[in-house]
Amino acid sequence: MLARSINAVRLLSMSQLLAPNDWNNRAMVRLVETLAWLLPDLDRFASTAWLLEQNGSLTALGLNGVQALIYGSLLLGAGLFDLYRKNL
Amino acid sequence: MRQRPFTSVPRSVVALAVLALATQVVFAVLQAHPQARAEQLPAPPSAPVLRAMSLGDPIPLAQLWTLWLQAFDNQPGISIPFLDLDYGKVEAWLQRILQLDPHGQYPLMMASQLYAQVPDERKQRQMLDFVHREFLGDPNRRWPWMAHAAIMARHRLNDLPLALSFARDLAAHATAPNVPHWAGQMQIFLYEDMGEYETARVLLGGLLDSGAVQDPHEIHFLIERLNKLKEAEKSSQPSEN
Repeated sequence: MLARSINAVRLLSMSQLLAPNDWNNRAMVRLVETLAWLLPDLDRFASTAWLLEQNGSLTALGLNGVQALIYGSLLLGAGLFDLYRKNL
Repeated sequence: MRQRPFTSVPRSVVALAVLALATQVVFAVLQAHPQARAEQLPAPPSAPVLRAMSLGDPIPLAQLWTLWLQAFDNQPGISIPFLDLDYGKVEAWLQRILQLDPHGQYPLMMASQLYAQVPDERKQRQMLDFVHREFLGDPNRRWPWMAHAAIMARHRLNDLPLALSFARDLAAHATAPNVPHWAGQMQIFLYEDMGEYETARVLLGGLLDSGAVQDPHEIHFLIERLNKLKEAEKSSQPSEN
């Protein structure tokens, strides 16, 4: 859920209504940005608009493929790391 | 259960995890930054569809739609001025919400005190007309918004005939005991503003004679105004010399 909505959270955190120069809000923006770097950009995946408006492109599909490969590798690495440390 | 030490993890696995994490961060940084885009206000669904959506309990749905509509100007990362909204759709939404919850006052409050405050006379008039039409549907409950619309027409639009027509409808239709006397008296002071002293004097005299006003302070105030109206009427008449 968070991975799908992280871009909306990024936009909300940068809203001009939130006193963007306040250090609290600046720290929050940094935190959200960092979180966004660590999460896959799932809101670009399986968009209903691709079906209804037929606006999907091979570039978008390729980028999604790369994202899936990178995140799959990350999950595999983290899973193996955890597995090797278990006392079975 | 104690875990094995870090050294028990093969270097290739550590390298895979670190490399994948670094690639993920680089990939995320290289992605286009999300852009805030203002969405247009959609037209509301038809009343039967809304009723079906409410699952037989329309009031909570009306409240939800009200909150959604009120917050529509504030979208993620962007704020749209009310002025830029399509007022035909805003009006349609307000009407639908009132259909769902006819006793709710909030849509009329939004129309008269939020959407009618934009610096666009056409849009102001559209909202005031909407309030007027809906007021006629339930005048004894919706009179405060009609009174506000009359004041706006008088002081914001400087349209005395429009303010007077609102005030006359207010006096004619909002007649329940809970409606304060000042609401019915607005038309008298608007006639005075228009220079129609005789009409104002007749209406005010009639109001005092009817005995509808019981409060001594209010009676004293109205008698003072009546005397001022008589003086103004005399001074406005051409001299017979």
